[in-house]
Amino acid sequence: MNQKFVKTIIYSLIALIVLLLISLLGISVGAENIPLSTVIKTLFNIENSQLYEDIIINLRLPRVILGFAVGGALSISGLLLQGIFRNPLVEPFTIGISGGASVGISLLTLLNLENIIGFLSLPVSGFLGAILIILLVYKLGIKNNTFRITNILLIGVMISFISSSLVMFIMAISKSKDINTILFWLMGSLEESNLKLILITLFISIFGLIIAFVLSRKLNLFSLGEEEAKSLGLNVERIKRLVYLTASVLTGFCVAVSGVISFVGLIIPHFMRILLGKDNRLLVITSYLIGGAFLILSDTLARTVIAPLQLPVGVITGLIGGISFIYLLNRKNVNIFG
Amino acid sequence: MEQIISIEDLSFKYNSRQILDSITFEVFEGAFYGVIGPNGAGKTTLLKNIMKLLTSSKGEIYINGSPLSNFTIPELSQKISYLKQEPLASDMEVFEYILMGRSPYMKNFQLYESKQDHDIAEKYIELLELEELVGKKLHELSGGEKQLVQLARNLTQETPIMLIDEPTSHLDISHQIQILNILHDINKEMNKTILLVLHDLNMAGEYCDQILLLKQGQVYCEGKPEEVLTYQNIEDTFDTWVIVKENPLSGKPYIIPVTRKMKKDNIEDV
Repeated sequence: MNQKFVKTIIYSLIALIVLLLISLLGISVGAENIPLSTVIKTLFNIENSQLYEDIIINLRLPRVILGFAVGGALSISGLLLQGIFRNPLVEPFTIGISGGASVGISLLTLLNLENIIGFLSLPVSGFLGAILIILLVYKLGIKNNTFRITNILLIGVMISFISSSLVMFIMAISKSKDINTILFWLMGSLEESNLKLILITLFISIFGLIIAFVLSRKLNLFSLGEEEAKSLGLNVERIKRLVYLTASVLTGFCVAVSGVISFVGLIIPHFMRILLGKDNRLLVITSYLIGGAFLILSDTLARTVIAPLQLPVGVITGLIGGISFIYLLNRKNVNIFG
Repeated sequence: MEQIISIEDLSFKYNSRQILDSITFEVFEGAFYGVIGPNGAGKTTLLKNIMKLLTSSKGEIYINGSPLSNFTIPELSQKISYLKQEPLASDMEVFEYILMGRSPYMKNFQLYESKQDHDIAEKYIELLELEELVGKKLHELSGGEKQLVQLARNLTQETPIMLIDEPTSHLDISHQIQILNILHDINKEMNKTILLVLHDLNMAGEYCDQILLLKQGQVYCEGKPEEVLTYQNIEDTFDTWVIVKENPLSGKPYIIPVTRKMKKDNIEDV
C-alpha cells in the first residue's frame, strides 16, 4: 500500500481520537458537571437518568455536533483558500463572505422581517447575503476567462470593509433590542436549538470534506505556482473556481448558522502544517477533525470560564488559537509558506 | 525525420505591446534546437505559447501535425514538459517534487501515485545521480542541484518534447557544461526533442543542431550554428561588436566579445 496513504490514515485516526476525547469532555463539562462514565453510559443508552439524558442528548450533544461541523468546515475552507491564493493570511472571512452574511442578518433585523419569514429567518438571510457576495466576487474576479486570484482577495477585503460600514449604519439606526440581536450574531455562537438545521450543517460540512479531499492532490500542484501546475496537466482555471466556490459556500453556510467565528480557518491549517508538513492530502482530513475538536474545546471554555455567563466563542478561538499559534511558531522556528 | 513542432505566423501581444511578430519555424523530431536573442526578444514568450501558458493573438502552433487547440491541458502535458527559468523556491521535499512529474498521467480522482510512478521517478533520480538529494528540501539545494532536480521532474513527465528556458543562467561554468551534457545525452539516447532558450552564444553554438535567432519578436534568421552565429548577425541583433572564430577542438563558431577598450586599441584590425 502507498506509504503516504497509510500515513494519512494513521494521522487521521489520531486526530479522530483527539476529537472524540474533546467531544466527551465538551459533553461532560458545563454549568452542571456530569461524570464521564455517566456521559458514556447515557450516550450508549446503557443507563438512563432523565435529568442527565436531557442535558446530554438535547443540550450538549447537538452543540458538540454543530461545533464539529462548523469547526471542520471553516478549517478546510481556510486550507483550500490558502492553497489557491498561496497566501498564508487568507482565511474564509477575508474574502468578504461574512460581510455579506452580516449585512443580510442586519437588514433582516432592521426591517423586522423575522416575524414574516419565520423561525429559520436568521440563517436563511445570512446565507442569502453570503451567496450574493460569493457570486458578486466570483463575477468581478473573472476577466479574459481568467479567475484572477489577487483581485479576488482585494475585492473580498474591500467588500468586508463596505459591509462592516453598512452593518454599523444599520446598527446606528436600529432600536437597542435589534442592536443586541445583531451584535450577538456577529460575535458567533454555537447555540442553535433547531436539530434539523444542525444535521443539515453536518451533512454539508462532510460533503465539503469529501470535495476537499478529492481536490487535495491538485492543491499540492498549486504550491508550484499556476504556470508550473498547468504545465503538469492541471486545469488551473477550473480548479481555482471549484476551490473558491466550495470554500466560500461552506463558509457562507457556517456563518449563516453560527455567526462569525473567526481564527479557526486561519489557525488550524497553519497549526497542522507546522505539525505535519504541507501535503494537502494529509492536511485535509486532519485539519477537518482537529478544527472540529478545537471549536468544541473553545465552546466548552466559553460556556464554563465565567459560568453561568457565556462568552462568545469567537473570543476564545481568538485568544487560545492566537497565543498557542505564536508559541508554536516561535518554538519550531518554522517558515509557514516559504 | 518528421516535424514535431511547427509554428506558423505566430503573433502575441501583451496589452498593446507586440512581443512575438509573425514567427514561423519548424522543429524536427529529435532535434536539439536552440533559441537565442537579446533580452526581450520574446524567447520565453515563445516557449510559453507552445506550452499553452499564454495564448497567441494570431497564428497557429502544430504538435505532431495537430493544432495546439486540439489538446486538452493533461494531453499536452503528456507531450511537452516545460522547465521554467525562475529557480525553485519552495520547501517541498525533492522526491515529492520529482514525483509530481507523474501528475499528467493520474486520473481525476486518483490521490496517490502508483508503485509504477514511484519507479519511474526513481529511475530518473538514478540517471541524474540525485540519490543523495531526495530527502532534502528544495530550498536547501544549490543552484546547480535545483536545476538538476527540475530536470529530473521534467524527465519523470516522460514527454517526447522538452521545452527548457535558460537552464544554465545561474550556474558556474562546470555546472553549465554538466547540464548541457546531460541534455545532450537525453536528446541523443532517448530521442527526445529539445527546444531550449540559451543566453550563452558559445554554448548554443557548441551544443545545438539548429539555432533560431530572434530580434524584437521576429525571426532574424535560422539555421546551423555556423550559419547563424556570424559576427554580422550578432552585431545586428545584439547591437554589440564581436569576433567570431572557430573553436579549435570542435570546429564550431566561437564568439569573443569586443569591449570598448579593445575597439579603441585595435580598431583597424577588426
